[in-house]
Amino acid sequence: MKHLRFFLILSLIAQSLFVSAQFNQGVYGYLSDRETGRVISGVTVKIEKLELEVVSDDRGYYYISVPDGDHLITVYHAGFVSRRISVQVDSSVNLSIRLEKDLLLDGIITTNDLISESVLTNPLNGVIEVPIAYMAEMPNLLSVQDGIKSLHMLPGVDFAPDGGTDLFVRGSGAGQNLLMLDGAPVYSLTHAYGYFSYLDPAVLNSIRVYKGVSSASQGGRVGSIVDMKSKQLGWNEDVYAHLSINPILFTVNASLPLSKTGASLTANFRRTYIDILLSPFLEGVNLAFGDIHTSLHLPLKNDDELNISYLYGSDNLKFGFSGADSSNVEYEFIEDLKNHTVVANYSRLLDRTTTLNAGTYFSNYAQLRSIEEFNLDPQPGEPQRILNTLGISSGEVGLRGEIEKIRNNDHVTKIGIQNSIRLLNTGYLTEDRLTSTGRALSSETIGSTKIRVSLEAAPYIEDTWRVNEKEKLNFGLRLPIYASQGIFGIYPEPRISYRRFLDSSTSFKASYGWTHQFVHLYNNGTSTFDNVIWIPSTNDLKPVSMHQLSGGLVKNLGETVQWLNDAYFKTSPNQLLYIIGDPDNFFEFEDNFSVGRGTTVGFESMIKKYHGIFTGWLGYTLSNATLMYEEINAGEPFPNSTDRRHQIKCGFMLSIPQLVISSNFVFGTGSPFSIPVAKYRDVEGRTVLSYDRINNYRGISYNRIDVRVQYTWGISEENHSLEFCLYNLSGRINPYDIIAQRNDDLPGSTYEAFNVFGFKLVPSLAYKLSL
Amino acid sequence: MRDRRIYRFVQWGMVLIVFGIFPACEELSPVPDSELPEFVDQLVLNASFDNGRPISLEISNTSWAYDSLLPGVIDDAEIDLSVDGASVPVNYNPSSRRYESTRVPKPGELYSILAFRGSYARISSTLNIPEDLDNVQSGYVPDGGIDPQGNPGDLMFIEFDDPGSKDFYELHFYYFSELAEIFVPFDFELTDETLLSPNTLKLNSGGFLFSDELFNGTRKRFTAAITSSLTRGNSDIKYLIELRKVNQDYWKYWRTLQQYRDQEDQIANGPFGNAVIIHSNVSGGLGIFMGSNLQSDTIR
Repeated sequence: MKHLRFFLILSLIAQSLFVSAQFNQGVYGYLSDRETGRVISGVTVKIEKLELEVVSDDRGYYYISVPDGDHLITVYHAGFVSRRISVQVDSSVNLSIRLEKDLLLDGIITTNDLISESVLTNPLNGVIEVPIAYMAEMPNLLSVQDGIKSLHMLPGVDFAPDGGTDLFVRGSGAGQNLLMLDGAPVYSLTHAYGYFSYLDPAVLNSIRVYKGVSSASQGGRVGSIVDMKSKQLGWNEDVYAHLSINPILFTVNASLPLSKTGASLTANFRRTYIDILLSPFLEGVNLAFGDIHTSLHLPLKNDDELNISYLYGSDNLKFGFSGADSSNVEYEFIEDLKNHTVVANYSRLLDRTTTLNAGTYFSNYAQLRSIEEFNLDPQPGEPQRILNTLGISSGEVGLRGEIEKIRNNDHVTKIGIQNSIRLLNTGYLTEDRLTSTGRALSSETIGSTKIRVSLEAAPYIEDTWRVNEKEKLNFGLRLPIYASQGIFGIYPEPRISYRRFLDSSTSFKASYGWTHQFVHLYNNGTSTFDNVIWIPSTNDLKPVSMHQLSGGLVKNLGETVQWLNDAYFKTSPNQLLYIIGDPDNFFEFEDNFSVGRGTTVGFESMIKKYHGIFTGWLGYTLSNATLMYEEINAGEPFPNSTDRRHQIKCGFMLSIPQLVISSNFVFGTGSPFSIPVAKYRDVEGRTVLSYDRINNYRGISYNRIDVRVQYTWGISEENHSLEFCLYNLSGRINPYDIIAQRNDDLPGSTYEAFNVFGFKLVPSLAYKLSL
Repeated sequence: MRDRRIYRFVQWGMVLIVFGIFPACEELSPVPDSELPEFVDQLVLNASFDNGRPISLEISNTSWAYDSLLPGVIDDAEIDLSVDGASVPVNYNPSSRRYESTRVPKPGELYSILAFRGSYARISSTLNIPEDLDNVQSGYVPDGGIDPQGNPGDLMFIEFDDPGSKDFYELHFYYFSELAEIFVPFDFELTDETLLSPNTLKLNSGGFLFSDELFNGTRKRFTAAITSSLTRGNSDIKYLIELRKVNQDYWKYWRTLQQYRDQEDQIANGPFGNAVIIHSNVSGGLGIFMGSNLQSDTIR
């Protein structure tokens, strides 16, 4: 069966390579927004007489092969005025076009958010995004605009129950999403233990989530790919800066055009300030976090481009506490979390139809946690200070290269390779015993520092084939070669996506993909401050694989409304699940995983309107996510913790001069939890709890309404805006966990079960000054 | 002066925000009894038969997890125990609070049990006593090994022929403590790939529970070197090696029970977070009816 699959894919590639129709001339160029100069991807360029049609790529570039003669070229894209241009072709023609926004349709949405057309035409399904401008106007906890949290409002992405930033896509785990900034993986994006993310929408160009089958040029995680692109200015944009302040953070953002050729620098700095204000009240306590995100875009000669991005995030926590009442011991807890991601991408147009894309990156997340014990009354020979330090880090260096060839009007072929070296320090614990002067009495390392090295090289080939006027295929083969600690293997990943136009406004899509994941997020789950530990696949912890089959329908309802439907089935024969293994064996992570099957089946429907004064969407998700492990739940399937049968998500925004009103509404079936049913005696006479099955209890349903009102006023060149936000307006209690507490005041090991819930009504006020 | 007041006002505002909002991040509300899973009282059978001890089993009942009643031993259950089709009478012993028989199980025997009591649902189960292992040899070599500190230590060993089927074992090494007057397990340097395997369970009692996946159908030898300081001063050095061939229910029960206990130990809030279902092979109720074949050797 496996060989048959490869044969089919290879046959398709071979067939597509030889079947083509090539004319002798080409019309090519860049498509951009006349007002800003920003390039526009996904624009359709069509010659109706010849039934030819191409779509501009991410750089706004298109190439269409034509015969000699006169041609009427139509260029259209939602939100812009269509252009019809007559071209006389007797040699190749450079036809770069600046499109004007359609003022009848244009609301607050910027050009790069207009993907509606490509959603209809792209063979890939399950690709979805929230427009960046929308992200900036969505109501959020404490008015902190957050690129990751806005994704929770999409169908297929489980909402975080209580202001968190974890992503659970189509039943997959939090560690199964590849968070990619300009092509570089980011190992952690969260501040304040998950309440906020590093990503301010103000410095992003787009965030796309590939929930379904991605193309062969993408891979690395089995759940989803979250492709985040840093902001680039258009050649016609002015200097822009804003300062903003919300209840916990202040932000300084600047976008600087560096030349008329389109070079630009964007920088964003955020930091908490409450720690500074509170310092007189809370001696010895600190909770601070901040981030920096910069992006440099440099157009070079001959249409070459160089983009460099840097993302830095930092969290610091410090507090002290006393020992037992009678002891003379005090403790100080310090945590220091840091992320650095730097990425450089270079793009060169080798000829009119061939592009070289190359990039390199470094990404590292480090966590240092210490507890220092102060003995206030040390006896002779006893240490006055004992410092316990836990260090964890995840680092990756990567290099990639790709040739993209527009072979003719029907084929765009990509061949490339992505290489990475991961250095994962899965933790060390040291204990240093010190005198009052800091002199070391002894030093001991508990759990050896293990830098687990893994190598991954993933060559790939993919082709996008316009089979005929109605049908289009994207298919390819990705071939990751992986090596680490006693494991070496080649893990083929065939991908195929198909699209067929049923009429001019409706397309049907179907896809199949097989992916592997070679790095796993380990969550020991024993602490509120969970460790972010990534561990590589080894001989004892095999790579996770996932098969996904999906099909759907996209329909444009008029010019501004789009309806997306997608049904999917995904299954993993070797899904990892954290279980408690040997508690004394903390650093042998392989012992603490169980391997079983995970299956999710679902249907997602979304209707959206992204243009105009009133914009918004309504989404519905029906899904069933189950797990099955030989040693858990007596080998029977049980609901995954991410399982919610129904979810309804709705967002809208009303944008009129000086006033923006926006609101979110979320409803979801309650999460499953495990609750014991009975107590009984085990074989040694000890009382144990009985669960009829894992996740046997469904928590109460979740619903939340958030509202935000923003008023803007201007004084000459300045714009001021004041924002008022109400998070969880109805004040509903939405439990995100259920815990048990044995009440020792009652006889007979009596347990009590409690819903754990978080934010009820949280009002917030924010101010922004734009220059 | 005015600026200072504004500054203090802002400071206090922030204090209110931080202390007003973030403590609200985690609040508790009791789950109403009506929403908790329905409870049906059941019989519980606990029995572990081996070829070294007379038959003994316990019948108890369940109680609701949210009730103050503890599960109790039942002394008037009707028990129908049979071996290879022949009945084995058992009697309730009030001192041990168990149902007992003088019969000692033999390797290869198949036991069936039915138990009733009043309105409780009837429970039933079966167990087999695994066959003897072939060519078991054990012994010790004075100062024949290296202990965890790198010093010479007495080396205990046991070896046997593993049958070609899927088999499960439990292994213990003990030394005799003259101070405590009991056999005590001890830590030793682990080098054997089976004992190091992630699928091997290190029991809280110091032993190892493992399958033959890495030595199926071959002759297998296990060794353990003891630290000489543990036995220094003993007038009579005595070691005990216990190897059990266990049935699959035994294997599953102890693995899940240990997972349950580890979970309970690790999470202060109890085992709700990562619930573990303890394996049961008792139809109509809970508990375990499991068998093992014990082969032990005391070495002086």
